[in-house]
This record gives sequence, structure tokens and C-alpha cells, in this order.
Amino acid sequence: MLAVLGVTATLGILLGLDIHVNRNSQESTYTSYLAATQALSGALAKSTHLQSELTAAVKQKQALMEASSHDTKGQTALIAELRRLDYLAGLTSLVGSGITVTINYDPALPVIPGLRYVNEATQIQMLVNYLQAAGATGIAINGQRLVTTSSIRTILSMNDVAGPFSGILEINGLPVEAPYVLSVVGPVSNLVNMLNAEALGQQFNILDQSFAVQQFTGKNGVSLPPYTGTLPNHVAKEGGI
Amino acid sequence: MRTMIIAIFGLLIGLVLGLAVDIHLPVQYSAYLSVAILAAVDTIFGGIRAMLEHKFDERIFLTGFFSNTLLAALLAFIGASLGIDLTLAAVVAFGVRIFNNLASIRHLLLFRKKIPFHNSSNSC
Repeated sequence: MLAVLGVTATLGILLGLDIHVNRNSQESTYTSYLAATQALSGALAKSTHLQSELTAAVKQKQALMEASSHDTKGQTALIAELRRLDYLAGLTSLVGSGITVTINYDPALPVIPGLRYVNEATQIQMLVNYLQAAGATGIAINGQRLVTTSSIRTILSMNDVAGPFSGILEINGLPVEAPYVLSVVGPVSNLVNMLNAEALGQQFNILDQSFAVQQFTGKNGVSLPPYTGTLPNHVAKEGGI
Repeated sequence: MRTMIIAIFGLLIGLVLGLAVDIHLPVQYSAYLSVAILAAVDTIFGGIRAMLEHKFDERIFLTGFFSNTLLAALLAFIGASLGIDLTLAAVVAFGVRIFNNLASIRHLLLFRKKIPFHNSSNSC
């Protein structure tokens, strides 16, 4: 009888362990090292993003808790929170270490047939995406600070400049002409590594554009102006703040 | 009947233990586990049949259970190493045995006193 008990118990354990196996796990779809590496990179990026979101939420919660007392201390905390949100939203100027990227038409670069038209907006959007992914805390293009509601559009039919450019970009509703200077505040090494890893310089060079990156490691290396345009969610606020 | 109760009791204890332990096997080993479970189920069906035929031997049952289970998992592992799906061979072999044993058990339960049962492999 002990044999029966032992065998059935072992079978039960095996079944229990089998139930634990998560066959819907994404791990089962990793058929190659590359796929697994890509998934890992994605997970790391997501983790970093969630971590920063969590930290911001904790800070905001703390500020709101402090502000819940209806006295001077609470008012000060609220004002500080408002300023912090302004800073995060790009409504205040930002100074710090970072890089500048200058993009301009370069006639010295070899012309590749069939690639004469360049949509700068697409290119600049791609560059901005990579810079933000690398941890940029603030970006300005030719002095136009990018905020969450910013748009980068190409204005067509204004091709009076040399090279394959359409000539003018519209950022935050205002015209911006080449050369395009992207000022970026953020971790310098991360930003430069991202540009190198994605070979963005070569991508711009193929389209007859020079791509010059300058690094500013000093505390006051790069200065970004505040966003001065209108925001879609302006609401009435109490005076004196 | 008492053996059946013990078997169900053992299975429940095992299930509870298996679910309670915080061991999560990686999904790539799940194939070995599945084949091992199939082998174990085959052994148990064999045991039930032997019991009904009054030929049950604990030593054969116990050694059969562990040797079948380990061999099945080993076969799956070797197959994975060689790039051949030997798991399929084990699944077919154990599947056929399970159905044969089940047919024998069914016949033994239904016609135990009417028809003497000799060769289970030819019956269904």
C-alpha cells in the first residue's frame, strides 16, 4: 500500500509542478538569441520608464500630502509642486550638461541618386525619439523648446534653399529654418552612445546632411529656453502664484 | 476499494504539495515533465490492471513507475539534444499502452466473472 501511496503522491507532485509551468510565457517565443536580446532591451527600457514614473508619482503624492494642510506650509508645498510640474512640462528654462546636434546641408558629401528629397520633419522626429529614449530631460530645436504638445511638421513648397531640404520646418507652430541645431539636456554619455549605436550620423550623411555632435559636460553646458506658446489646458488660476 | 482510496489520497497529497511548493520549472523543461507524467499515468493504469488480474506486485509497480518516468524524460532530453523529436515516440508508446490497459481494465470490470481475460492487446 505504501508503494501505491508513494507513486500516486509522486504523480500528484508532477502534475502540480506541471500546472505551475507558464506555457503562455513570452520566453517560449524566443527562438533566437537576437529575439531574446531585443525582448530584454525592451523590458529594460520599460522598467527604467516605469521606475521614473513611479518615483515621480511618489514625489507628487508626498507633495500633495504636504499640501493637504490648509495653511502657509500647504500653500508653499503646492507652489513648489506647481513649479516642479512647470519644469517637467518644459515651461521653465533648463540648464545642464548635454549635447548639441547641428544638421545642415553639406554639398561635399557624395550624392546618392534617388535620395534627393528629404523630409526633415520625419528625420528630426526620429532623432528626437532616440534622444528622449536615451534619457534627454529637455530638447530645443533652434530655440523652440519641445513639450508634450509640440508638433514637428515639414512646410512644403518652400524649396528655395540649396540641397535636398524642403527648406523649412514648423515647430510649435513657428517656422524654423536649416541649419537645425538641437540642444539637448541630459546624460551626455547616454545621448552620444545612442546616436553612435543607431548610426544616426551616417543616416543623415547619406542624405547629404552633415551631422555634428558637440558634448557639454559642464553643469551649465547647455541652456534651453522655456516653452512660451499656448497650452491646450490653460485654466483659471488664483492670483499671486 | 481501500487501495483506490489510498491512491486518491496520495494523488491529492501530491497535488497539494506540487502546487504549494514555490518551484516554477522553466517552460523549456515542460516537455520532459509532460512525458514523465504520461509515463507515470501509464504505470498507474498498468498497476490497476495488474490489481484486477490479481497479479499486482509492489516491487514491479514501484520500479516500473520510476524507471518509466525517468526513461521517458531521458528520452525527451536525448531527443532535444540530437534534434530529433523523441518525445513523440514516447507519447505514442505510452499512449498506446494506456489505451490497451484501459481496454483491459474495462473488460475486467465488465466481464470479470463471465469471460476470462487473457490477451489485452487484442481487445478494445
